Amino acid sequence: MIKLDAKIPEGPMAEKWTKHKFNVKLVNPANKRKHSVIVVGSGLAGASAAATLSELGYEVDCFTYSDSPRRAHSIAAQGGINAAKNYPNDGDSVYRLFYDTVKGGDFRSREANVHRLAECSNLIIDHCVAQGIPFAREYGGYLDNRSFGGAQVSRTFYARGQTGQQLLIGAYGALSKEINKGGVKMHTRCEVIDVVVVDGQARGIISRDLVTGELTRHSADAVVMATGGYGNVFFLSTNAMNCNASAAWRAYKKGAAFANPCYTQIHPTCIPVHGEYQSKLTLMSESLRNDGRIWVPKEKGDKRPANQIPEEERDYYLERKYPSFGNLVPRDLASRNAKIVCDEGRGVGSTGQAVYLDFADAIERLGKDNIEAKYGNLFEMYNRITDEDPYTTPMMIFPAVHYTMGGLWVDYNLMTTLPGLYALGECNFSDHGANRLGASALMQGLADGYFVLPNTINDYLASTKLEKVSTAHEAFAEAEKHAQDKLDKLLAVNGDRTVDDFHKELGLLMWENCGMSRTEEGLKEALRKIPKIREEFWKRVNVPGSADDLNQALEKANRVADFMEFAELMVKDALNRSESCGGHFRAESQTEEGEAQRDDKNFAYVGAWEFQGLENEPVLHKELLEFEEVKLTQRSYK
Amino acid sequence: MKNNSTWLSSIGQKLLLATSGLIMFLMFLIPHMGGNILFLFGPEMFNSYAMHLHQLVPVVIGIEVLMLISISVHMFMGFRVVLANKKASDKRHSQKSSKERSLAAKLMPVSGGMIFIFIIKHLLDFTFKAKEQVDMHGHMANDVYGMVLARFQDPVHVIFYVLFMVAVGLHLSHALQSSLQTYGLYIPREGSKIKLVSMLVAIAMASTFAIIPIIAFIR
Amino acid sequence: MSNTINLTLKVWRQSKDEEGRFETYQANDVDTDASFLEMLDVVNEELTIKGVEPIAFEHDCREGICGCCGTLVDGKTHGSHERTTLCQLHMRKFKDGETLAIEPFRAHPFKVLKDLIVDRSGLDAIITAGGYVSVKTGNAPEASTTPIKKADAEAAMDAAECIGCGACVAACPNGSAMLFTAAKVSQYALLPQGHPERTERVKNMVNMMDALGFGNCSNEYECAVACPKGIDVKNIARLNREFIKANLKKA
Repeated sequence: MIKLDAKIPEGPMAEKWTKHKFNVKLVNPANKRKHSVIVVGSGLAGASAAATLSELGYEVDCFTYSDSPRRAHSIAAQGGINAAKNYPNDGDSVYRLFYDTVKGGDFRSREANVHRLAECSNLIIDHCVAQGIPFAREYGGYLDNRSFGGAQVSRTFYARGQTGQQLLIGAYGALSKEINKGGVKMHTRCEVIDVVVVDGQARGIISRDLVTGELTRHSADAVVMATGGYGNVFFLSTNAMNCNASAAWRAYKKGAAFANPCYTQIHPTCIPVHGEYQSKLTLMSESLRNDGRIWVPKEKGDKRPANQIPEEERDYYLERKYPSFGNLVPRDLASRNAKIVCDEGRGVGSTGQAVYLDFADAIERLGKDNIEAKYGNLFEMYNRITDEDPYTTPMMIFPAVHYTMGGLWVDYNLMTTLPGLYALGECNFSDHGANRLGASALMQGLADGYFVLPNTINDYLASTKLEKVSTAHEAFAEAEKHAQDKLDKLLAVNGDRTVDDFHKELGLLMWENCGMSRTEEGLKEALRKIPKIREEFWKRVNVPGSADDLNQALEKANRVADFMEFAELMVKDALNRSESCGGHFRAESQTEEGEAQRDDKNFAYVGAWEFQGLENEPVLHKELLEFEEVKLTQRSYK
Repeated sequence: MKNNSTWLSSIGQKLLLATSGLIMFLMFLIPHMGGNILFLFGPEMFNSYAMHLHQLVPVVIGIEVLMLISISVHMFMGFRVVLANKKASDKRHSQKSSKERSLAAKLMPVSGGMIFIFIIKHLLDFTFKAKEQVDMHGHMANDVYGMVLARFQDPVHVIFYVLFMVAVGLHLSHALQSSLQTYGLYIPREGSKIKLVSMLVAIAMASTFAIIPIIAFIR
Repeated sequence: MSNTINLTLKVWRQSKDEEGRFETYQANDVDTDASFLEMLDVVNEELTIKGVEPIAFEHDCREGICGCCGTLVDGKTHGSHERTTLCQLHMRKFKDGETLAIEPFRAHPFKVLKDLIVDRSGLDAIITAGGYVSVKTGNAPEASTTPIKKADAEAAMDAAECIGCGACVAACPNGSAMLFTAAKVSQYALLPQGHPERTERVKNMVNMMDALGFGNCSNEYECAVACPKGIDVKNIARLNREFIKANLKKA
C-alpha cells in the first residue's frame, strides 16, 4: 500500500520554495555525468526539463512519438502565458497570481505548489525573452500584456495568437542546443509503451520504434513523464489526434497513483460538431467573449435563421442569469449553461448542439474595422472551417473538452508515488485544482521543466542508492514481453470494427455521462457500459497490418485500449466526488440557482487512486488539502 | 558531415555564379553591345571601332582572360548547382509549378547551354576566321563590316542568331534580378521594380543584339 | 450549406523497401464541410473494413499549427495556395467528380517512410546546427532590460511563425530548404538576443543544409507561394546577407 506524503516544506508560504532549494541534497557536478534520466514527451514540460537537466550535466534520453519535438500539442496554445511581472502597474504580485490560481481552481489545488508556480512565472518570462521568443511589444519596445479570464489584472504575455508555438519552439531550441552538444539523445517516432520498475524504483522504459516496430529497452536512474493530458478519452476534444494517456496509464499500473481523474476542463467557445466524420474540435479563443453576445431563441425548436429571429424572441441567457459578469463568466459556467439551453431544445444549427455568439452589436458599436483588427484571424479561421461569415451571421459555438486538470499524483518534488518516477506539466495533477485559468497551462509546463524538476530531482538522485541496472534484467524482459503480447493480441483479433469506431463509441458515452454535467445515475450507467465496450473491443476490433512496420492503426489501437481502461477510473472518481467543483459538476450538488455547490467538509482532498489489478477495485487515497493562506469561499458571478 | 568551404556551399556557389555572370554582363556584354550598335552606322564607323579595339591589345587580352575565367567559373558552378538541384528535388510525379515560377527561371540551364553553343559558333564565325583587308585612310585594316554582312546573307544564319538571342534575353531576365537577391537585396514577389527593370534590360539587350543580323541581311 | 461530392483519389502507396505506385480509390459521399484529412479518415475506415491497409499519412493537431500534415494534392503542396495546411483545407474547395493525385512531399532528403509519410528529420538537424540562442536556464536577465523596437519584434515574429511542415522544400523545384533556414536565421538576426552567435549560426545552419543534400535557391519563390504561414522571401535575402557578412568577417 502506498502512503501519500506531499513533502510540503515547513515555514511561511513565501519562503517554502527558497528554503526547500537549500534543504534538498545536491549532486556534485562531477557526479551528475554518471546519472541518466529518461524524459518521456517533448512538449513544453518535457523539452524544457530535458534541456535543463542536460545543461546541469545529466545524461538525458528524450522520447517523442512525433517526427520532431516541435510537433507536441503545447504548440496549439493560442492565448498566452501568465506571469506576475506587474509591468502594467495594476497591482499584480506573486501573491495575487497565487491567490487567483487557487481560487480559480475552486480550492482543490495544493497551495504550496501553486505559490511556487507563481514565483517561477517571472523567471519563465525572463528566460523566454532571452531565448529570443518574439513576444508582443509596445511601441516603446517593452513587453505588452493582455487580460484573461479569472483575473482583474493584465498579466498575460503573448506572441500573436501563437504563444504556445513560440514557447515550444523556444524549448525545442534549448533541447536542440543540448542535442548538438551531445547531452540529450533524442528518440523521435519512438513511443514509450511501458515503465520498468526494478526493486520498487522506476528504472527504465520500453519503447516502440514507430517506423520499424522494434521494441527497445532503456534503463536510467530516473524517469520523467511529461506526456500531457487524457482529454482524448472523449474522442472529440481540442487535443491533437495523437494525444493519449497510455504512458501515464502504464505508470499508474506500475504503482504511480492517479489523482483527480474526473477533473476535465470544458472550453465554452469551440466550433460545434458538424457530422459523423468529425475528427476533432477547434477552439476559438476565449477573448471572443469580450465583444460577442451569446444567445439562443426563446422558443424551443425555433429553426428560423438567426437574422429572422427578432430581438424580443432571443434569450441572452448569460446576461440574464449573471448580470454583473454577463458573457464573461468563467469557462465552466459558460459551458454548463450552453448545455442547459441545448438540453432544453433551444440549441441552434443543424444538430441543435450549438449556441450563437453574435457580434452584430459590437460591429455596430465599434465598427467592422475595429472588430476585424481585434479578431480578424479568428474570424478567418471560423470562416475557413464553417464557410460562414461571422461578420454577417452570428458564429455558432459549443463547449468542447480542452484540458485535464487531473493526472499522476506528485509530491512537492513532482515525484509520483513510484520512487524515481516524476510527472510534469498537464501529466500531473498539482497546480490547477478543479479548474484551470486561461494562460496558466504554458506557465505550469515551463515552470515544472525549467525550474522545478531540475531543482528537486537531485534530492532523489543524491540520496537514493541506485545500483546499475542492466536492460537484461528480468523486469525489462517481462515488460517487453507484456508489450509485445498486447500488440500481438490486438493484431490477432481481426474483427469487423475499426479502432476509431470503438473510440467514438467510448467517447460519446463519456461525453454524455461524464462530460459537462454528471449524475450518479449516468455515472453508474457508464460504469456498466465501459467494461462491455472494452470486451467488444477485444473481440471485434480490426487492426490491419503488422507489428514490425509503420502501422498507425496499431498505434491507435494500443492507445484506445488504454483509454478503455482509463475511462473506468475517471468515472469512478467522478462518482466518488459527489460534490460539484470547478470543471466537475455533479447535478446532485447545486445551489438553488443551479450553481456548483462545493462540499469542503467532505471533499477538500485530492483523490489519488492506486491500481490493484484490473479485476479489482482501485484503492482511493486522500491527500487532505490544507489552506493556510486562501480562505475558502463559494464563487459567485451574479 | 561533409564540410564545404564557403565558396562551395550552396549560397557560396550561387554567389560565384552571380558574380561571374555579372562580370560578363558588365565587362563584356554591355561593351560588346555598344560596339555592335556602331554596325548600324556603316562600314567606316564599325571597322574603325574594330581597328581601335585591336590597338588596345593589353586591355583586350585582360578582358579575354577575365572572360575565360568567368565563363569557366560560371559553367562549373552552373553544372554543380543544376546537378545538385536535380538530385535534391527527387522524382516528383504530380508536381506542378505555380504561376510564380517564370519560364525564364525554369529554362536557365537550357538557355545557359544555348548561350554556350552560341559563343562557340560566334567565335568560329567571326573571331577565328581569316579577315579580308580594307583600306582605312591609308591604313590597312580588317574588313569586319564586310565579314558580318557576308555572314548574314544566309537566312539560316540570321534565324540561328535571332533564336539564340531569345535565349540570351531569357537568361538575363531571370539572372539580373536573381543575382541581386543572391547578394541579399530583397526583391518582393509582387510589384517589384527590380524584376521589371531586369526584364526590360534583358529585352532591350536581346533585341539590340538580334537586330544586327536582320539589318545585315536587309542591307 | 453542407453538400456531398464523389471523388476519385490516386494515392501514392509505398511500403518499406518498395518502389511505390499510385493506387486508385473512390471517395464517395464526401461531406463538403469535412476537412481533407477527415475525408482521408473516411476512406481509411472503408479500406480497413475491406481488409486493405489504410493509407498512412501524418497528422496531429488538425488546426494548422503542428506542421505534421502535408501532401501534394494534384501537384500542389497542402493542396492549395492560400496559406492553408492540409488539415485546414476543406472539401468544399473541390468539385464533384474530380480526380485528385495525392503524393508525399518529395525531396532527396525527405525519404518516404510509408505511403504519404516522409522523413523530415533533416529540418530538425538544421535547427540543431544552430537555430537557437544558447542561453542556459537561469542565465537570463530581467525580461525588460533590453527594449526591442516593435517593428523588429513583429518582423521576427513573421519569420518565427514557420511550422516546419516542409512544404517549401517540396514546392521548390530544387528541393531547397532555404526558406525554412532563412526563417530561423532571420528571427535571430532581427533580435538582439541572437547577435552574439550570429556569425556561427548562419554558417553552421547553411553548412548542415548543404550536407543533408537540400538543393540551392534559384530565387523562383515557389516556396513562398507554398508556405501555409506566408513566410516571405525577404527572409532568404536576409539569409544571403547574413551569410555574406559572416564570411567577410572571417576574411
